[in-house]
Amino acid sequence: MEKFKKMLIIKTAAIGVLAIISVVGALFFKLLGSQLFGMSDEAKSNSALLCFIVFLVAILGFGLHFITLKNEKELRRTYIKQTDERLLQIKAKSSNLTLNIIIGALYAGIIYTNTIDNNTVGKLLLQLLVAILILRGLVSYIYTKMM
Amino acid sequence: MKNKIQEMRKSRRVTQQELADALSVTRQTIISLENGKYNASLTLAHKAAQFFGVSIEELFIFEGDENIDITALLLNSPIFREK
Repeated sequence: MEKFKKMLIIKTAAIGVLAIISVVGALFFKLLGSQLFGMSDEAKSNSALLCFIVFLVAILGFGLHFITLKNEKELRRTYIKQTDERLLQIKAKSSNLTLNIIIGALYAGIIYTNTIDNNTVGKLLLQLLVAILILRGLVSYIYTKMM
Repeated sequence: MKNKIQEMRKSRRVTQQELADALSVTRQTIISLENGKYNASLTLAHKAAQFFGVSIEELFIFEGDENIDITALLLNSPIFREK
C-alpha cells in the first residue's frame, strides 16, 4: 500500500509538471510562435488550443489524484482496484486477445491487398505486422528472462 | 477448482464486502470465487485460508486430484510393467 501511495505521488507530480509545461507551451506558441517558427495566426491558435486541452486534462487528472491521495478510504479503494488479481488477469487476457485480433486482421489485410488488390498499402501493412511481431517477441523475451 | 469460501464465510457471518476488504480484493472477485468462475492465485488462496484459520486444502478442492486413480497409475508405471 505504501509503495502504491509513493507511486501515486510521483504520478501526481508528473501530471502537475505536464500541466505547467502545457500552459507554458500555450503561452509560448501564442506569444513567440510567429517570431521563432514563422507560424501563421491559425497555426499559433491551433497549437495554443492543443496545449490548453492538454492542460485541462492534466489539471483534471491532477485534481482526481490529489483527492485520492488526501482521502484514505478512496486511496484504499483505488489500490484494491489497481491490484485486484482478477481485474489484472482480465486486463491481460483482453489485451492479448485484442492484439491477436489486430494481428489476424492484418494478415487478412495483407493477403487481400497483395493478391486481389495489389497496391502499396499491402507493403505498409506487412511492415506493420513484422514490426508488431518483432516487438511482441522482444517483450516476450524480456518477460521470459524476468520470470 | 471448487472451494468452500461461501460456506465458511456464511458460517462465520462475514459479508462478501468484509471478506473482500480483508483479502484486499474487490467484492466482484469474491463473488466470482464463490461461483467457481475464477480460480484464486496461490497468494490469494493462502490469504483466504489464513483469514478462515484453515489450511488451503480444506478451503479449496482440487478436482484434478479426485480423478487420479493411484493404483492404475502405479500398475501402468514402467517399474511395475517390467516385473
